[in-house]
Amino acid sequence: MEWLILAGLGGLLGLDETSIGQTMVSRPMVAASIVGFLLGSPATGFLLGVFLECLYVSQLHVGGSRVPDGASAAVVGASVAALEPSPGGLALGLVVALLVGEVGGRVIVAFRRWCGRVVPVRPDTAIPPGHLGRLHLTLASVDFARGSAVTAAGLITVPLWIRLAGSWPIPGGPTLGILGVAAAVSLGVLWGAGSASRARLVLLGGGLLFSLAIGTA
Amino acid sequence: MSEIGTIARLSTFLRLFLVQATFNYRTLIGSGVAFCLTPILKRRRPEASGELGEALGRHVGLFNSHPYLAGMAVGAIGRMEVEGADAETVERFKVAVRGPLGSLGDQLIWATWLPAIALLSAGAGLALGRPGLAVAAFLIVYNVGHLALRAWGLATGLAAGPLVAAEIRRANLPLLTARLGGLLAVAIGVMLGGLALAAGAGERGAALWWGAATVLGFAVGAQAGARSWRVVVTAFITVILGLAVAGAIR
Repeated sequence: MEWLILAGLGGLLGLDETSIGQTMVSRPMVAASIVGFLLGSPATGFLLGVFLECLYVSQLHVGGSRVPDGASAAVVGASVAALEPSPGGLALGLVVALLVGEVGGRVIVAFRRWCGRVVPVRPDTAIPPGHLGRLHLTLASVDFARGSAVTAAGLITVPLWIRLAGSWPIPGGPTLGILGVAAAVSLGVLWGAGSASRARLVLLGGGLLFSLAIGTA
Repeated sequence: MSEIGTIARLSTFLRLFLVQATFNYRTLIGSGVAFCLTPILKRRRPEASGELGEALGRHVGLFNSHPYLAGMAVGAIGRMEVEGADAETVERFKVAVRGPLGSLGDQLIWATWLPAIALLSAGAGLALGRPGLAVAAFLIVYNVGHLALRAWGLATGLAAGPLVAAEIRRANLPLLTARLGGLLAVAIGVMLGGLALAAGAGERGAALWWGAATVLGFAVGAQAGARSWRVVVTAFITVILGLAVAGAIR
C-alpha cells in the first residue's frame, strides 16, 4: 500500500513539473522532504533533496530541452534514504535518484513527442467546442500515469539499494563531503552561466560567510 | 474592456495553470493558448454558430512562451479578438511576441528566480538544521513571485492588447533579472557554505578539507561549464557504486 501511495505521489508531483501549475512542489528538495516525512525520516529526506536540488538546479527547463525527471527521482531516492537512514542510504539514494531522473527525462521526451501526434496542429481547422478541454484532461491523465509508472519502476529496485547500503564502507562526514563536492560542481555550472563581475563575487563571498556564521553560531 | 467580464477573466486565469498540459514539440503550447482563450472567445462567438470552433482553430498552431508569462499573450490576443481585430493582425502579433515572452521568462524565472529561492532556502535549511522551515519558505516565497507574475501578465495583456510590447519594455524585466542575479550569487554562496558545514559537522580539520574540496569542485564547474555536468554525474555514480560494491565484497 505504501508503494502505491509513493507511486501515486510521483505521478502527482510529476504533473506539477510541466502539465499543471508549476508551483514547484515537484522540486527535489520539496518532493524528497514529503517522502521523508511520509516514511518517518524527514531530515534525511530533506538532505537527499538538497543534494539532488543542487545537482539539478543547473539543468534549466528552457524550451524543449531534455531535463531529468526530478519528481520521480526525488521520490525514489528519498525512499531509499528514508528507509535506510545511514550514509550509505543517502549516497545510494542519490545514485538511484540520478538514474531514475535520467530514465524519466527520456520518458518525458517520448511522451511529449506522442503529444505532438494527438494535438491539433493545423490552424484554420475548426475545433469542436469542448475538444480542447477533454484533450487537456486526457493528456494530464496520461502524464500522471507516466510519472506514476516511472516512480513505480524505480521503487521496485529500492530493496536492492537498501541491501547494498548496508555494507557501505565510508563514515558519514566523508560521505557527505563526496556528495557535497559533486553538488558544488553543479553549482559552479550554474555560476558559470552568469556574467563574470566583481560585484557577483563579493555577493557570493557574502552568502558563503553568512551561511558559515549562522551554521557555526 | 468591459466586454471581458470577471468570470471570463477568472476562468482564463485558472486555465493558465494548465497551459502546458498539451506541451509538445510540434506546436509547443499552441493548444494550451487556445484552451485558455476559450472563455474570452465565447463572449462574442456563440458555440452553435460554429464561429467559436473556427476561432479556436486559428489559435492551436505553434506558439511559445514561458508558462508564467503566457497570460500576457493570452490577455492581449483575447483583447484583440474582442475588439474585432482581423485574423492576420492577430497572427502577426503572436509571431512577434512568442520569442520575447519565452526568453524573458526563461531568464527571469528558470535561470534566476527559481535557483535563487531554492538555494537560499536549502542552504539556510542546512545551516540552521530546519528542513521544514526551509521547504515552507521556498514554496511561499517562490509562489508569491510566481502568482504575482501570472496575475500581472494576464491583467497587463487584457489592458494593453496589441500594445503589450510597450508594457513589457516599461516593466524592464531584464533589469529585474539582473538585480535578482545578485540574490542568486548570495544564494549560491549560502548553499556552498551549507554543503561545507554538512560535510565537516563535528570535526574542524575535516571541515576545512571538505570545505576546500567543495570550493575546488565549484571552481571546476564554473570553468568547465554545462558540458561538465554529465561528466560529473557519471563519475559520481561510478564512484558511489564502486565504493558500495567494494564494501559488499569486503
